[in-house]
Amino acid sequence: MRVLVVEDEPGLRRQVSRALSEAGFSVDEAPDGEEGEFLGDTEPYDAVVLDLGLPKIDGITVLKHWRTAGRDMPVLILTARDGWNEKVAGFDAGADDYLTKPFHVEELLARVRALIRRSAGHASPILECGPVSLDTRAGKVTIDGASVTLTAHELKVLSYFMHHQDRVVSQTELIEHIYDQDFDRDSNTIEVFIARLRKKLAPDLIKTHRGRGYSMSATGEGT
Amino acid sequence: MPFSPLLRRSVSLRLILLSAAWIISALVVGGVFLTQHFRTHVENSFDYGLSRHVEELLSYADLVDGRVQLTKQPVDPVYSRPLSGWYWEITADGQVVDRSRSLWDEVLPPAQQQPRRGETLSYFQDGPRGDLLRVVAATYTLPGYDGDVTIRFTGPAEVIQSATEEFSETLVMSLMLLGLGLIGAVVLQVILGLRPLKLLRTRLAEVHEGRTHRLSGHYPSEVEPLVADLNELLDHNAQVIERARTHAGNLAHALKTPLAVLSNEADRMEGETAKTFGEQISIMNEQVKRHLARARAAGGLGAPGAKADIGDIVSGLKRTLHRIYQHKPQKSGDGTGVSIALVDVLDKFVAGDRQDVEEMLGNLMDNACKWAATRVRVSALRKGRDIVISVDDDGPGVPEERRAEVLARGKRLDEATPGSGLGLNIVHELAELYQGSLVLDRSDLGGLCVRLTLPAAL
Repeated sequence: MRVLVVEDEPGLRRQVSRALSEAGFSVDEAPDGEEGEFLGDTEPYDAVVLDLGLPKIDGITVLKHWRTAGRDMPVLILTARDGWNEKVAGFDAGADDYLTKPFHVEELLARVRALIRRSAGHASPILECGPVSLDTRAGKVTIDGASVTLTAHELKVLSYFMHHQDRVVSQTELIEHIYDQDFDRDSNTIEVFIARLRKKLAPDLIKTHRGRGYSMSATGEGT
Repeated sequence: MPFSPLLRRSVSLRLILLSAAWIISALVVGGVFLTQHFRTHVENSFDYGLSRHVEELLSYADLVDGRVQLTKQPVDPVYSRPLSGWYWEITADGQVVDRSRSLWDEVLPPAQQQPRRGETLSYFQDGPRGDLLRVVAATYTLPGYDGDVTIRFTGPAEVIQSATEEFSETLVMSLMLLGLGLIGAVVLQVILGLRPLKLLRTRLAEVHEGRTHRLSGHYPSEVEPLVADLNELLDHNAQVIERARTHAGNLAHALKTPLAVLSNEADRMEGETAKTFGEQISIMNEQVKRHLARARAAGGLGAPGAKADIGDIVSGLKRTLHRIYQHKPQKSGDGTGVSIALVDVLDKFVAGDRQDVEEMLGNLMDNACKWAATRVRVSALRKGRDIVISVDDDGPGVPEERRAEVLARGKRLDEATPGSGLGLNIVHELAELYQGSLVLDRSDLGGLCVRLTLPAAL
């Protein structure tokens, strides 16, 4: 899962990015509205943490631009301004959630996870696919109740499949959502991760659709 | 000049009284002068008539055997009517030659003044019956006669008197009418002339009552600069408030980001120091929030003419709260979200700053959504000069004995429920700053009903 953090205060930006990375997200950072808007326009993020008081272009304007351009990724607004008029303006501009400073990082992580989960259509924080279950809060994976240990990258790939079950996910899409923009991307590594997941979980869990990508579903079907 | 307090207060009264005093004194002086003038004129005409008769009688006087005699009597019948006041007498060297028949047996009292030779005099004198007479007397010399011939003609002074009285009666009547007309005109002039000031006062009252931001309308060139200055002052005031508010917001923003960094660092640290940090940071945060809200509210009160549209505010809040609570599990069934109904909220305006009213209603509605099982209802009602906004929910409500506690300063009923902002007690404080009130009651929906009363704007 790939998250964009747009925050002008370097200390806070570092903290948020670090916490998100530690929670298993790939994180891109933008220090101002202009760069933030550009990244949001060009990269496929699963969620955005957006500060409102930003240099160059303010957060509300950035959000409005994204929504008019048809970008519908979930956006969590982060702001020091906690007046209701700001909240109303934020939600009217297309925000999905709102967090006022100061906040606890755990709260932020929980909200981001919930946003991603809900935008993929899942109500519960525990995602299930056949025998496999993923607790998004702790990043814990079990198969038939037995816990499985995965590396950070394996978990990212699995998490993406668990969020987007029953549909074909292309290799490019997977790469875009697993790595942040600075990562040296190599499509071969994806094949390696999928092979390892099949080995650790179940051989027929992830199906290959030649030339199109992969799919994961409880019934073993993919469209 | 020592004005009475009323006179000192009212410019209109001052102008009207001064003008009235001037008009009355001018009319009185004019009236006296005119009457005097008229009287002189009447006397002169009267005298002229009498002196014509004197000359006529003189032409009848002749010397017969060295004695003065009349060859003819004047023909005017008034001189024959007994004691009519119209008399004549001719004397030669003090001896009466002849007198009018009207004198009957009476004698014309002796002349007060004897005109010198060739002189004509006119004066008032008491007649034989004690009535006042107007007398014209002249002394002549006849050729061939050494002595003085004096002729006196009289007429009743009453004629002059009544003519003058009649005139002055008419004069007083018309002067009084003129005076009343002039005073009326002055009153009208003062009222019309001072009308822009009255208009200004009405408009200022409207600004004060929060119905408008600036003074509107056209004013005469004498008042226009004052209106322009007042508007400038009002604008300046609004700007200062806006600036103060922006500064407060900036200060909060500036403080909150470092506070966020600090509190997250403290979360990562362990031990006693980290705990102290965490506690102190949350105290700082609460303080910033509380004082920011209060500064904002107090600032808003100073802004004249502020007006908040309840319908607009609650629809915005409804949209937002719908999204915030869309995933909240409902108490009954397995649905999610809270349904918010707005009743009669359109066309309701509160005299106050929009941001403050939004803050109060936002907190109330947020609170209701937080506790509601499935439903929240917001309704507004005009009650005299106030607007009463009720926020109802179907949650657990607050028992009567704890209601006062909820509104008390610095209390929150459930400290564990993460508050997205300020509690009911802050709304209560804000409402009181606005001369409004906040009352808790039992809702017909089953939960809490919070009734916020604020002064209405028109």
